[in-house]
Amino acid sequence: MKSMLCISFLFFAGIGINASVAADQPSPIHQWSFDAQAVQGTQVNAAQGNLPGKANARVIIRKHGEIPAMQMDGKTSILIAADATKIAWPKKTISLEGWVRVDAQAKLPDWGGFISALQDNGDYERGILLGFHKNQFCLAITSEKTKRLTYLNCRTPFEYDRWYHLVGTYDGKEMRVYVDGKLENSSLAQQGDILYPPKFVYELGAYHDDNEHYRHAGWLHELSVFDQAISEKMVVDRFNAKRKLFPTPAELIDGPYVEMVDRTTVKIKYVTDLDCPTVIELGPKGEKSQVLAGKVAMCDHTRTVLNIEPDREYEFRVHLQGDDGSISMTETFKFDSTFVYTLPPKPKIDSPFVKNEWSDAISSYAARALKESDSEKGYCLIVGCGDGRLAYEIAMRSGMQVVAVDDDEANVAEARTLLDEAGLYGVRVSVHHGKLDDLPYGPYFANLILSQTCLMTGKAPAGATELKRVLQPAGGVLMLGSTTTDSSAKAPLTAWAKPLGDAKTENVDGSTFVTYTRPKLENSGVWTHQYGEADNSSNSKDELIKGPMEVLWWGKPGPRPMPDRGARNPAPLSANGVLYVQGDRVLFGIDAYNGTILWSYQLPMMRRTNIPRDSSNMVANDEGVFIAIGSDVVGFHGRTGERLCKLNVPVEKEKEEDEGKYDWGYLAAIGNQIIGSANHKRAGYRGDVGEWYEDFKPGQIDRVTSSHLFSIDSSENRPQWNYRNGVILNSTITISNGKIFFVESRNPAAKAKAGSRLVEEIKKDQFIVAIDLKTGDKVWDKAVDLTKCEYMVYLSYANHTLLVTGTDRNKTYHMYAFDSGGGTELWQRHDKAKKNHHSGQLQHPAHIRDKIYVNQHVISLREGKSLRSNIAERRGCGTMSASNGSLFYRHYFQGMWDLESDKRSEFQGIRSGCWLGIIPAGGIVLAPETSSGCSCTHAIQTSIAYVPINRLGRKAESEMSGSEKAASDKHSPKDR
Amino acid sequence: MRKILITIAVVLVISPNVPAADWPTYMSDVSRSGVTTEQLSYPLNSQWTWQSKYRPRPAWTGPAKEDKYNKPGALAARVLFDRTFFTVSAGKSLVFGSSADDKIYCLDVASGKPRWVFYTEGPVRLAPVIAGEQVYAGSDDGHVYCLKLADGSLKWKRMIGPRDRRVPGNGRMISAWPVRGGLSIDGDVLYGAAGMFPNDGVFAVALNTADGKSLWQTQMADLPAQGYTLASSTKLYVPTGRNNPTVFDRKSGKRLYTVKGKQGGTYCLLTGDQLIHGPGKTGSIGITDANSKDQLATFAGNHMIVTPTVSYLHTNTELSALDRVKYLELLKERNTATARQKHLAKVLKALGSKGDPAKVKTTRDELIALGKKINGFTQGMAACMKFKVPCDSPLALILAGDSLIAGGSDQVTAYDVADGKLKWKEKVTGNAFGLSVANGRLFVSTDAGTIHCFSRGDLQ
Repeated sequence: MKSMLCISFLFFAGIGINASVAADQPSPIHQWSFDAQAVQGTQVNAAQGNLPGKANARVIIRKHGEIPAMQMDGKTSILIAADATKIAWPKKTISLEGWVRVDAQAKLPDWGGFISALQDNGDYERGILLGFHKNQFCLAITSEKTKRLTYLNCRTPFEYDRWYHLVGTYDGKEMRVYVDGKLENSSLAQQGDILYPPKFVYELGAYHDDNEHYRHAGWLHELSVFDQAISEKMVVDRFNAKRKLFPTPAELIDGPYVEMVDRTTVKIKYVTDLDCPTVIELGPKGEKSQVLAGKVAMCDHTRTVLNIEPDREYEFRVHLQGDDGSISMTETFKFDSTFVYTLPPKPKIDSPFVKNEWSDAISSYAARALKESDSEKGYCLIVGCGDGRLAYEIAMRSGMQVVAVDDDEANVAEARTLLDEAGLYGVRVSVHHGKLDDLPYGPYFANLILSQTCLMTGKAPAGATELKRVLQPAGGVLMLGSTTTDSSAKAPLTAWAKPLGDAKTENVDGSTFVTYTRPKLENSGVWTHQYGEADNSSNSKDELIKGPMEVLWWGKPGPRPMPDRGARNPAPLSANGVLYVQGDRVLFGIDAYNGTILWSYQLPMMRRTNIPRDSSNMVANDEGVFIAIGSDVVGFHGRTGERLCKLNVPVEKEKEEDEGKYDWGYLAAIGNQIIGSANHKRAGYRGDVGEWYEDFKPGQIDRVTSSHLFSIDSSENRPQWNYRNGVILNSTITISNGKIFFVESRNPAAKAKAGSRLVEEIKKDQFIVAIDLKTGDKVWDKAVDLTKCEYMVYLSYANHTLLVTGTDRNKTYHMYAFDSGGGTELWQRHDKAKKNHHSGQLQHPAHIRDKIYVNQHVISLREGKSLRSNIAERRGCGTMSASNGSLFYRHYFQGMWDLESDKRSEFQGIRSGCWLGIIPAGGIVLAPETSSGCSCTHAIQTSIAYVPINRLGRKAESEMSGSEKAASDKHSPKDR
Repeated sequence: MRKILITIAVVLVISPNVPAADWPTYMSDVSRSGVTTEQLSYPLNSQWTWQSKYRPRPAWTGPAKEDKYNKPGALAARVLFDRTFFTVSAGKSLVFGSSADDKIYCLDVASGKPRWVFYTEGPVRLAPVIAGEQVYAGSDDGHVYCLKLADGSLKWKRMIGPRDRRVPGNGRMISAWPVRGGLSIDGDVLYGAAGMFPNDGVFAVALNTADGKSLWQTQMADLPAQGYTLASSTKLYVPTGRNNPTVFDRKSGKRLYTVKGKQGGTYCLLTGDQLIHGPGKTGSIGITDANSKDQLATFAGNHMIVTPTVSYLHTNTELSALDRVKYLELLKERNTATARQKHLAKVLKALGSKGDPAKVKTTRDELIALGKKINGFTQGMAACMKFKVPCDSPLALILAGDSLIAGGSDQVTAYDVADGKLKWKEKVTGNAFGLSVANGRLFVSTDAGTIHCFSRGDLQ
């Protein structure tokens, strides 16, 4: 009886909604509701307008939540009229409406249609379309004013696998496009009567004209055409009338975080806002999924899934059970089981090492050394390995790769045999034969250096300088021990360590241990923010990186986990010996000095692109990395990947209605302060469909803005201050010398849309603002006119000077310098872009001491004088990065300009991506793989690091001969 | 009496009077043809299985999933040389190197038991070569090793790079000049290459097989060396990973040219006057004329086996046989006709509506005739297909006697070379990337680190 009552209530409620809508709403002239009654086989009957359609193949109707929908497989569409000229089309006013969903596909066409009645063939453009271009919905209309189609794109990209209510209207004067009841964009480009082609088809679920026929992959619930421009209120009413019937994706309040434990095991973590049991629906992409039910109600969920197929892309979503028993589902997330970066499992076999008088001492030495080192992964070098017992202990107690070397062939043979028998030989332990005082290894690679023979004899196996050469800066540990009871042996070990400086000596149970932890390289720099530091100088200030380079390490990540090269992706970062790389929804912590992947997480919600019009979502400090995901910032420890913190966009007291409204925009880490800004949800670019944001077009140049700035004490997760005034341009936020500088627009029209993507509105009432880093109080502001900065606008800082850089639509650079003390203008420059393609017009300036490097000019910082303009063109997309001695950029290959010698060179065979991908930091050059997706024939796709040869006290391995250089240029692969 | 006669007949059939063939190098010979005269008698039975403690550790993982800007479709992996432990065999020995534990293994072909192992100091990614009584192998430790086949003892070793500098590379501590230009031997000369990063120098070498002394060494400063070297009578071909192979004069070591085109890839084989290589960016095989360095044709596919007249093409789903000689003749003619067609179309456009009517007519007539001719060539090319059969083993392909043998996921299959009919199918553990046939045995290597030996039951 109870259920009957409920059903009756719902039934009448449903009727009520429809009736009220019907009373207030105009009737569509054409309408198709895709349900089981209307769709039979290939026949699609109309709900209004008596225009039945015919599908070219049988279509499937399925229920989504409470509503039926028709599946479009990318091969099927509904033809309404082969000769659409016979239809009585609206003449001057029209609205097109659809409840639509686009599904993520391996190969999506750039164009798609839901209602298509047009011709767009070269110069001949007529008709109407409700559809999409790449990942933006659009309305297209031709009127007598232009006699060309205007494709009015939504400003916000749509998300795949999600239902939307899409409406396009035209009232004879203005085009408008709405998504989910909100106005997304409008245009006055078309006016007057709508022009239709003399020959065209009327088709649903496709973009179809004489030249193109792109069929839709996704779902359609209902499509309607009106002969009037329905009002904004009507749009909202129509959206509200049905929206609750559609499944709205449930949101996790944290996560998901996906970690491949091994080739066939994945761990998925997420947090729900209520204690509830959850179900994971998971399967290889495009194949049947399995359902994994969780029975226990909890908030903090960790699910371990076994029997994952190796090397596959997977999809999953989480079903959440509400208090009332209702089930909601998240959107579909993805992970890739290829991304396993752990060593093979340790063998479960007995040790082949027979217990002897050294067993306990060696075991204890291994434990002590691992405790001293904070490296669970990386390389352990054992110099003088004896029978391999210490190598065995380290390998079994840690995730380190052990490289053991001995100058005694018999020792080497014995160690190899025993370690092989232990099942460790090869990937986990390798034993080399060679001289101990002239090691064949490159510099900096060893996280931990030990010696078994020293422990047994009390004699250091090699000179301290030689061992220090291969020891990792920023935390590498060298520990030599001696168990000899001969008291005179202790002094030599202590004396041996003297060249190391502050090594410590400990006597424990009759044994002596000398330990040295190598600090950061003196005068090395950091790359903690998108453009070096928070000053946006594109300079790490590293003094060590100059002159010829050689390879320090190479390896993973390769191209598969990385984002497509073109989308102007966030830069890698490096601090305190760790390199942070943001792949395509995969985050890596990598040992900067040996390339070991310390940890990685697949974060399906992490993505930001078009950095020239936004700020990065990632910053680092000595402790770890912080990444903005949705409305949160999550911190991970650099060496372990353990979670440090989770911070949210703070809600201001007087703005409590704003909770959940914002994504985290700008991000900086200064000491314990995390500086952030607030964007509208989904205001950031995702760049998932091949964008490279090169052209002067809406949807490419729109700036991501913030409504306010704030500071949080990360150690206590305590909000400190808020700054809210104008609309802040994320790409301009700059921090140095205790101040935060940025450009904001105080135009009321901009402020009404603060936090979204804006262009025209932010050109008015522009100010450069300086606020105090500690308090958020305004220090000074200055009205400025930066309207010429049309393509993009950057702000950067060096030596008390603030520099604004931008280009206009004709690709002329406009630069404005101000004194950072009070905003006094120092100079302006206006230079034609010397290269006007492949990012030539988008270059971010690099500051080196009192000089600016941009647009193939060297400019004096305080005076704005051109010091040099004869700089050769840099080929390829991308922007430059700098140390104090060199500049790095993409040329044919990875390129470098050494300032001292004024020589330009290239790292042959390897290309970079289309923004900032090479960072000089920590005394080395780090270039994670950023060419992903390039189908060119560059010979090598790898992450790589280079070390200056002059630091090693010798010359380059090879100087390129003239003929080889010629051959190199000749065979440089073409791309794009 | 009848029983005795049957026995004799069976022995005659199973033991044809054909000398047993070795498989001394990757894909059988220095052309990397993948062809052996060795006949196998089906059905084959599993004789033994050898299992490595660790799976192979290829240097490179998969390519990007797609090129989102150009949208050519799913991208293919072009650097494929070490996905398994590729085997070579001579007499009683089966030899291979390990990318997981740095060793060179020699197994007894009859039992699968180790005869000896030899430790190098880095991953051994490419198959060794057996020549006479010696085994030659290159290692990521930067050395070429010469071992005695009988007992694995070291005869000589030679470092190819300028010095012994080792750095972390592809997750291991290896030489900055790893030997990844797979070795080839012709007569008493061994060819190979070492070096990954052109700025550090990449070296193609010819060594005397007897003592490892250098006959020539040529430095490249633009391309790495990755993949098995190939030798024609006059030239040495060195694959370069994702880029195209580069070519040297065998005698002098002089670098001649790099093959043109956008193909790239480390899968290569030589026919008499043509280099076939791939896979291209989305999985294709290109044919390049050895004398012109230009590509003649490309085929969608992963592998190709070439006999004097027929090419067998192997895609993800099919195995087909093509009258290659005739096909390429027709293709050349069609290309010539197409070029002429393009030229005439331009001429016609230039003449426009006000052009000399007679000339317009002549040009139009020739264009029409050319169109028909091109259609004829296209039809003729289609008719060159001798057979096309479904094949669900797309990972490796060789030709042994009258059988095409294909490696797949968890299986190996054999097809009749005459008509593509399935002759035999057997399960294996893992993806079967490596196939070799020697002396009546089929060896299948997989990415699980498993080596399977199949032969007829009574083979000793």
